[in-house]
Amino acid sequence: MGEFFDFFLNGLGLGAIFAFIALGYTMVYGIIKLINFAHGEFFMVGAYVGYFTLRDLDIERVDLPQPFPIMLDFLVAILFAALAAGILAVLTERLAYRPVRKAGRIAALLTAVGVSLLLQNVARQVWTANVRPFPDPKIFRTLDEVDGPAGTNLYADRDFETSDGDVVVETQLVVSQGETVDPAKRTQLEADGVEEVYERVTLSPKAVQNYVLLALLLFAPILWLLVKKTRMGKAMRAASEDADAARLMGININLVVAATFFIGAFVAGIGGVAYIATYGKVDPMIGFLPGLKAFVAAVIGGIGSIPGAILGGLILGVTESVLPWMLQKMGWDAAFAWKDAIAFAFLIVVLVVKPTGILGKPMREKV
Amino acid sequence: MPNLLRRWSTVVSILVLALGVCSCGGDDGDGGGTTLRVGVILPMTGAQATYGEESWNGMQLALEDLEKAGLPTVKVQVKGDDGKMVEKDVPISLNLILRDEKSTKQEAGTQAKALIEGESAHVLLGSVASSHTKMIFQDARESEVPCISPASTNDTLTIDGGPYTSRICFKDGFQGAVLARFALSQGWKKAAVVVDKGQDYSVGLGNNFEKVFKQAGGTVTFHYYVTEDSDFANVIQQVANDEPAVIFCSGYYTQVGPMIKQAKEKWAGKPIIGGDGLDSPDFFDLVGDVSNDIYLSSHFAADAPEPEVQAFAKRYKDKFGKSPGAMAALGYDVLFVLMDAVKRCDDPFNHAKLAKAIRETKGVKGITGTITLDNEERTPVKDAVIVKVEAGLKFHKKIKAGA
Repeated sequence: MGEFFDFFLNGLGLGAIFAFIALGYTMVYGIIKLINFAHGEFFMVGAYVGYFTLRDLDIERVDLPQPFPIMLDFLVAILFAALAAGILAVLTERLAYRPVRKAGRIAALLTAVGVSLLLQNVARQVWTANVRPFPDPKIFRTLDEVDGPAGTNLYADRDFETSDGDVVVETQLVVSQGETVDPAKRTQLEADGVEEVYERVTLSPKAVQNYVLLALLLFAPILWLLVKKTRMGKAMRAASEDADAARLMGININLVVAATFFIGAFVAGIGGVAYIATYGKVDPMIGFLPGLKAFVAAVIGGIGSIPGAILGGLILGVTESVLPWMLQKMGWDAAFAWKDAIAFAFLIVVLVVKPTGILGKPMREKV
Repeated sequence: MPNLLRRWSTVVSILVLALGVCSCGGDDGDGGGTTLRVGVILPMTGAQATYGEESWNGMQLALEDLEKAGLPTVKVQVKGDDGKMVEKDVPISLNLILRDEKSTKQEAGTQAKALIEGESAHVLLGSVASSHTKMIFQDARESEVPCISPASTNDTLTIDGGPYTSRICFKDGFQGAVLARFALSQGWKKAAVVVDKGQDYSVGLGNNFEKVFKQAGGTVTFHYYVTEDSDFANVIQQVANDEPAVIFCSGYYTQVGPMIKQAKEKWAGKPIIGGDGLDSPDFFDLVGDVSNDIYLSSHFAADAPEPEVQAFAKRYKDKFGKSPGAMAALGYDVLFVLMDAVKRCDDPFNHAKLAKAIRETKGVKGITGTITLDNEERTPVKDAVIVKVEAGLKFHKKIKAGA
């Protein structure tokens, strides 16, 4: 039973990230009936912006007691990532989707596929296709603050000048865990030109996943309230039911659609940072498979429904984790190598049994 | 009439363009025919980009050294002072044509074809990942162009590739045995092997490890993932449930690095071993600060005690700002093996003759050991090193080829 619970929790963590992306899919679909295939790319761009914020802005050096600098570091990264993804989504909507909105759903769908490929390839050109390691936050200390046995490994960055005059940063392990920094060691470090050492805070994925679940619990009701209780939400629902009638009632449809794209991508940007922190790397293709899975999650939950997207994400994550585990217990050794196939097979089963998804409402055709 | 004119002018301009393209593709106009066109296929971008970067840097350094020492000469007919044709020794010039295989199998095959047909390369060098080299070897076999892989270790590569293909690194039959014996020597009797189903290298290395480890009385369990995975929670959980004494991650650094990081809690304190696929300057950054002792088998360690290794490591670091990994050393060696063959060959521009000379390579002293290709599989028998991971890769011990 304990083992089942482990796999169940792993699935929940994965599902939370699917749910974050699925929210955007479902909101956009709910209003303009567009399956926004570029959504996974908004997620990817968010992840990159978060990556650069964490790597380059040195927010972790803020003079506050630990762990506030690290929390601040992540919060700023998440905010920048979410804003960047949101702004990109609004621009995409304005430049690519709005011109074809009247041309029918197939045209819009194909445009979305095109935008997705375009963004992937632009990212590949701008940021290269290389896999980048997630920059772990650091806790900096001067040598004065280090004495006695070190609680963790301590590293130092030093500049190294090549024969061509390029300066390269080199990381070295200067004090290993448990080693005592006595005056002799200190003199040696100073002689090596080390002024400042740091500790690498490698977050356990479990901790990150717990934060992601927490954020989901926080965000889902906010989004739900936004749609159900605010004026903008009312306008969204009106536009969703009948865009032309809503326009006649004085609702600015363009504004409503842009706001929807922004909110959906904003949430995906948060998911992007959560994703790279959990899985430890970023590359231009990270939006593809999670984007596809999130789409599946949105469909399983009932596309157009916000609680459905979250439910679908969590169910998909758990299925991907628990189902192969059960199959493996039954004697299929390589079940985990088939988990994507299993996830998509599950989608087909759900659609056969309930074509509108778990929480989806049956579509009423206007005659 | 104007319409007709326009149509014709279009046809003419297309013809002109086509002709222009054709003439570019032809002779490169160096006259003497003393340029050896070496097609180099490496993963310069994508998931294995550090392999490509290191190998290419190594080749640059080798080229510098070879040119300093004087490149081998070939006999060329030139017009003498009296107008008669005389034979003269002219040093060949090396033209390294680098193509990026973008860390994908398909692109490796495409680039091999482009180099053989488009650039009429005399010889190919590449690539690193075994399943990518397999694609290049297929083309080399069909077109009968000699090809040397600097770093692909999969056992069946050169057997399937045929007489035109060879490599300058040891194969996984040896590497698997090295790792198995290392694990046993540390007293680890129960191993969990984590294999990437999508990579020939990973599957082959895992099986080779199992063979030797089981023979010596160890027990092995296998767990699988695929190259595209980024969430390893499940495979980590399965390994943890097995409670192994050692975890063998047979795969490439872009997957194994994040896997070990994600296993920070569940694999806490467990020793981890891996193959040369983890030998990358990015590996440590991907892993982060974890409590495991991580060892890997490789071809080379920058801080090994041999003076030639130290000298190479120092020069490499001065030039590129980083300590060289195994791929850098192999990239360096592969060019020396090629030049050694060119020296012994009476016509290095002939594919069959150059391939024969490469096959007859004997005792070329390289940074990664002595290279002899004069055997059935055109694969050298070399020493391996065990490297420890701590903010970079640190030399741990050497394992002799015979042992």
